[in-house]
Amino acid sequence: MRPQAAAGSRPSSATRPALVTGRAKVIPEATAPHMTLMTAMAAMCYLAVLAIGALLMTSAAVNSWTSQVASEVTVQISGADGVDVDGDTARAARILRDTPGISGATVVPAAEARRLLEPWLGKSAILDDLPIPQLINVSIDKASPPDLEGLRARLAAEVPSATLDTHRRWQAELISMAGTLTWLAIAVLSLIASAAAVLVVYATRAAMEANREVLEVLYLAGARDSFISREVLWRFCLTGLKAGLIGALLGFITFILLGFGSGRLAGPVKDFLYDPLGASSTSYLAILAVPVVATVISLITARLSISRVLKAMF
Amino acid sequence: MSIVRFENVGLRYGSGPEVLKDLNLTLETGSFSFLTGASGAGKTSLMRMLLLALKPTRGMITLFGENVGALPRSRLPDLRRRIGVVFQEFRLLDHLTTFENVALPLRIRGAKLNDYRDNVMELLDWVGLDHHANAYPPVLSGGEKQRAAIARAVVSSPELLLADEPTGNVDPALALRLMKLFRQLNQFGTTVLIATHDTHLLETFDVPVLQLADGRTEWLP
Repeated sequence: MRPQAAAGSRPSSATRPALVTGRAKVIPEATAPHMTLMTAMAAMCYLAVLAIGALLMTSAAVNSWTSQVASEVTVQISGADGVDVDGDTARAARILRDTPGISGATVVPAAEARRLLEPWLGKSAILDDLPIPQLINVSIDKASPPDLEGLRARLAAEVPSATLDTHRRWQAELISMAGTLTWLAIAVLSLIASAAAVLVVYATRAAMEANREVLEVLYLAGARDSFISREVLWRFCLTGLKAGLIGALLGFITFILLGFGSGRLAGPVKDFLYDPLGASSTSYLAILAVPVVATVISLITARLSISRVLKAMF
Repeated sequence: MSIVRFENVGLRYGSGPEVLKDLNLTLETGSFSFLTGASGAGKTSLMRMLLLALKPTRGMITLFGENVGALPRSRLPDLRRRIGVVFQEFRLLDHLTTFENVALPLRIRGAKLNDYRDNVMELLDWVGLDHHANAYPPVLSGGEKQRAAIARAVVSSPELLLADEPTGNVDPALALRLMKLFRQLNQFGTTVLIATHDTHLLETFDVPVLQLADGRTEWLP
């Protein structure tokens, strides 16, 4: 029940103006440093997209290279004195062709072998005097690979001048390098996430401090922490999402621009740069995860920060 | 039955001297009282303790039968929602319209706009601000702000109404009208405590007066 207004003192309710909205945001938006936060977070997200892109490119390149390396082995026939190079090469090639799991064995012509050495030794006459080994490129059926240890043993028994190079050392080094780069990318992403969280904490505190008067009025009117959090959080959530989308978009543009200048890059890297979305669904998801993660970081960090600030304030 | 009870309550700011000492006072449910004292006597500090905005440095405050000092922080909003407050400096939120300011306590309680729109408009009509429903506080006069602050304080039908110098910024005629509004509220069951140093008001209304001097309170005869 409401006390009555003084008689005749007010116009009738029929002439009241219509409400404009009645539900404006309780916490004013302009006082919070959201634009600064969004710019800084967009930069963070951009760096995160670049780090993810670099990781995906490295992974694709290493997979491609290891796959190529794993599908080929090489047999060398020593060119040392006393070795019947041509005879041993023919015998070794026959053994290779007879071995199950080997889809082809191609003897590398001597001229081709010399060309392989030219980057290190040049086109000097010294190559004519060197006992250059005869190479046989062996293609492996990846569906049913041969018993390489058995093949090595048979070659050692029947063609002592032949050695089998399975390229395992290169494979191991590539995998090790890929592992190192993966951890490096994870470290970079973790640092970026931490820096973003620190930014959100700073921005939340600044927003709360800027609105201390408003918060006190809300508190004294009976507002709970959850009410204040809801009023503040949606802005941080939106800021994180926008920053993530801007960062992801700038990242895509960067990859596409880099793609135009990637003439000398390896196939998988080039593929990614030209068409990051088409590279694989994993790359698509990984890069799209950036806005999602940025939003989640904003949400969780702001929520925790708001609770702490409110407890300190009131 | 008492709605407010202070027992040996003391308050000091930081390591300074006690500004309020050994306060022992009781407000009965449904009472109407004035709190008076010279400027700087501690009226606002006492009101802020009643509002749970300040913790006493010693003693016990009981509100609505609850020992406030023993309550966890999460329970305080429940008590605050039973109190309406008119601040000395109004403390309207400048980015909200008059309607939104008045409706704020209801929004905080989770009420829906459609459920409280008519009620708030009726209240604005009661305080003579219905035609300023869409206006923002910076364009309201001192008296209009005061009335908006009063409307906000009573919109949720509080059990206890605290008003700090509610007539300090209005002319005598409006002051009298506002006091009549408070009396009407009191008649409907709200306990009212008004802090004022306006001697004219104290003389006009025959209600108990709590005097605050030298950090202590006493009921004037």
